[in-house]
Amino acid sequence: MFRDVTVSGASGVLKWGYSTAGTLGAWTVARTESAWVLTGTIVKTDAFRVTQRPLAFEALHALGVWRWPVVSLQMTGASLTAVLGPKE
Amino acid sequence: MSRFVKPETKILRISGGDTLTVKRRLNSGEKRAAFARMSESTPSGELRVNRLQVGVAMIVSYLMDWSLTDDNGVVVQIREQPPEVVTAALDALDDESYAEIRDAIELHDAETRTAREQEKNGLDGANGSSAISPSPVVAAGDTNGLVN
Repeated sequence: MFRDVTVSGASGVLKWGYSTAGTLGAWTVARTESAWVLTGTIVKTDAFRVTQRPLAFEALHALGVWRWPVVSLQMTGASLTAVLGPKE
Repeated sequence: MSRFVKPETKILRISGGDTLTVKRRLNSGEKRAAFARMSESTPSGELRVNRLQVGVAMIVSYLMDWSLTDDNGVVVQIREQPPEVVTAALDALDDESYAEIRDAIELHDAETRTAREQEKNGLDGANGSSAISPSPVVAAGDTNGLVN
């Protein structure tokens, strides 16, 4: 039923605990066969926090916050790709 | 145990069923930011502590969220807000509520410091290492190269 779900936004954050490990500009979370995959543009990262685990991706929406745990993360230049766990 | 502070939170309960979400422990950067908020420059350019700002600087450093509502029952948003917004919300509280929040956070700070001291003492006893180790040069019988 939800196999082709894609959500996107103009900004989001990577969190390590309560602290912000990184800020994203435009992002998309897409459902693949096996997982949710986040792609986005990196605006800013904290050099230390972004190396810590566990991280989570948070995006504000009209009714609150979507939050996914980050399973794995890859950053190339200003591009970020992450595999996410189930939305919390 | 790592020397780095984990960004964890704790819920403090105050009167009326309200809650405060606070940082469990401040890291060095957060402490420095707190000192900066309570400091001011003198005409000669020196920094001094403005005692009137100590309480609010401490609250702003720890406080992340709360359940406090306005007269319409809407939670006053402070989560992820800059210090100026949190300070403005604190300034708008009645005296008793502000004092209650300040006291709760000061108690949390004191408890955190005590727990940290106990933790450190426990660690010191466990590893058995001396506080200062001799440098390899001294240990080898060499000098530091200074000549009178």
